[in-house]
Amino acid sequence: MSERTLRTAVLVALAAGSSGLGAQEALNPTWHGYVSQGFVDTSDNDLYYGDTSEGTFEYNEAALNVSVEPLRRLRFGAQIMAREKGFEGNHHVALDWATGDYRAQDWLGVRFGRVKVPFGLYGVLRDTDVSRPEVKLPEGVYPETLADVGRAYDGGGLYGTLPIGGGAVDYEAFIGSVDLDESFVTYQLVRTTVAGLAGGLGASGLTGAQGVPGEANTEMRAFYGGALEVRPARGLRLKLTGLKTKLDVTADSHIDASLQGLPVSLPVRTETRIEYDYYVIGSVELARGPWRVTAEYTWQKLRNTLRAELPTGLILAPTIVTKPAGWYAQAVYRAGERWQLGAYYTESWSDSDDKDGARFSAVGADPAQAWDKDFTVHVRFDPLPNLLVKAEYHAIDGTFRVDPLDNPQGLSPNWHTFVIKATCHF
Amino acid sequence: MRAIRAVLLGTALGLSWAGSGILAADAPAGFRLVVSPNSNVTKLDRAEVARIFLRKQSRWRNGGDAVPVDQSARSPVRAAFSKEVLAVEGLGKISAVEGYWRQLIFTGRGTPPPVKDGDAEVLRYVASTPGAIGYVSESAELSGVKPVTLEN
Repeated sequence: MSERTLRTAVLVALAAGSSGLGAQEALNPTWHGYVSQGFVDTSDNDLYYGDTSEGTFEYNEAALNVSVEPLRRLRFGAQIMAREKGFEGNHHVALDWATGDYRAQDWLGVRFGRVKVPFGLYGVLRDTDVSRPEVKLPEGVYPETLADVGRAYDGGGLYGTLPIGGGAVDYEAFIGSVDLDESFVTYQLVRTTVAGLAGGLGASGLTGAQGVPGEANTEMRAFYGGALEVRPARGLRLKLTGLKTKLDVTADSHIDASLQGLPVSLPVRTETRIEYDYYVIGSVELARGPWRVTAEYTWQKLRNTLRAELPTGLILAPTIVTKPAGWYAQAVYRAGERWQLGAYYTESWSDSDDKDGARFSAVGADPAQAWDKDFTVHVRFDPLPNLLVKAEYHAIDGTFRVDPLDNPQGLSPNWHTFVIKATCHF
Repeated sequence: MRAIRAVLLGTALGLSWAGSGILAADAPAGFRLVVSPNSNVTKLDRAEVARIFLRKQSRWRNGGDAVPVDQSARSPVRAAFSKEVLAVEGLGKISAVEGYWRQLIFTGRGTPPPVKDGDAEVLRYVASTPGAIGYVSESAELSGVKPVTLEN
């Protein structure tokens, strides 16, 4: 959404709010925000956003939002956000979401603007540290490296609630697009692709070839999906989320190498199509008294097609089809008003047809790159109404979630992560 | 890094100790549900009241907007209301209810009901707002509003 569109939406809200409404409906903006500072330390491998094995405080974010309800069923709001996660974000202030929301009936409402993507039970909370007990959502279903894709879409959708028996059914359907031009996921895609091309140049007499990713343009050709949540009994939620997307990424990069001792730089243009035939999450949550138990499973089908132009010729790679998958189970105990203790176990695979990593072994790579198995214990403490502190420990088997390019020293298949984070909010 | 880890953990534990007396939950008290005087509602079940206060249900069954009003998060009446009513949605503690609202506030998906300080303000709001529903302490003198019986 452009800043102009946002300004228009706010002006409409202001106009509505001052157009003869009763005193109690008068425009009354509510402001909320938070500031978070974290510390991440990994035992061996570096995560994608920095030298985490040395420990890093470059793990923070801040957000400010405002909401107005000019009419009983009409609401406008927007949130700006700045984050630093290693090299990602760099405290650039961005529009996180900006929505108009009109709920004509309980069973029919419409949202439009930049809207958080409904993604499993907790996907919308990815950047909202204040709203969940753990720092890192379970990676098996909420991978950090794909956060940009599932953060927010520009478009619109319908939602509503239908009472059924003693429970209810919530639904949501949406269509839009996601601006990924400057996202990490795009950068990572281009970097990996160019590194792969550089690695294949050895036969042409070039030595020391290094891919240098260039600027990328993305074109989202499809982004739509929906969610259906059934609440059949007290404290029980069953949810199914589906998403389909097709994305073209074009980048002009180059490969630096040596030819008979002389440095050369080869321009390379890559055109990559990423297409999820399906991206589905099935979820169950049971809340009883101080306990909340959750399990979610995701299964996906991903097509990756590459066309690359190099001075040495045109490369048309065959479409690669993989089926990434993952799941987790989590229990959280709320001890009084201040403490929340929890643990989860999560697994994920780069391809559910190769869970034991046989394809990695076949090319001489460590099969542990095929999976990620993470057992985590976490604690949250709210010492003051506007302050919370979280700490968690991850014992991890596998390196699916870490990139060899970030770890030239090699990957350690058994490693751990420690995170602590404090958040002030209002 | 070990030293930093130790400092951070120590800070967290220190906050734990320092904060241990700050948010002591008030003992739950009783409460009474009240609606606006022109309402024809006389009794409600907990599940419906919970849906209205969590803004999952925005209309009365017989039509018209349902307009909930909350009390302050430090109010013992609100603690009692959460324990007795919102617990049916798994939100029996005020901190859980506030967590629920923060999820919606910070994702652009909803805003909580207005919050009033004390019985008198709630009674004033309910008396003057068509479709309003609130809760007050058992000892509050009900004038200009209509009491509602809570069932189930």
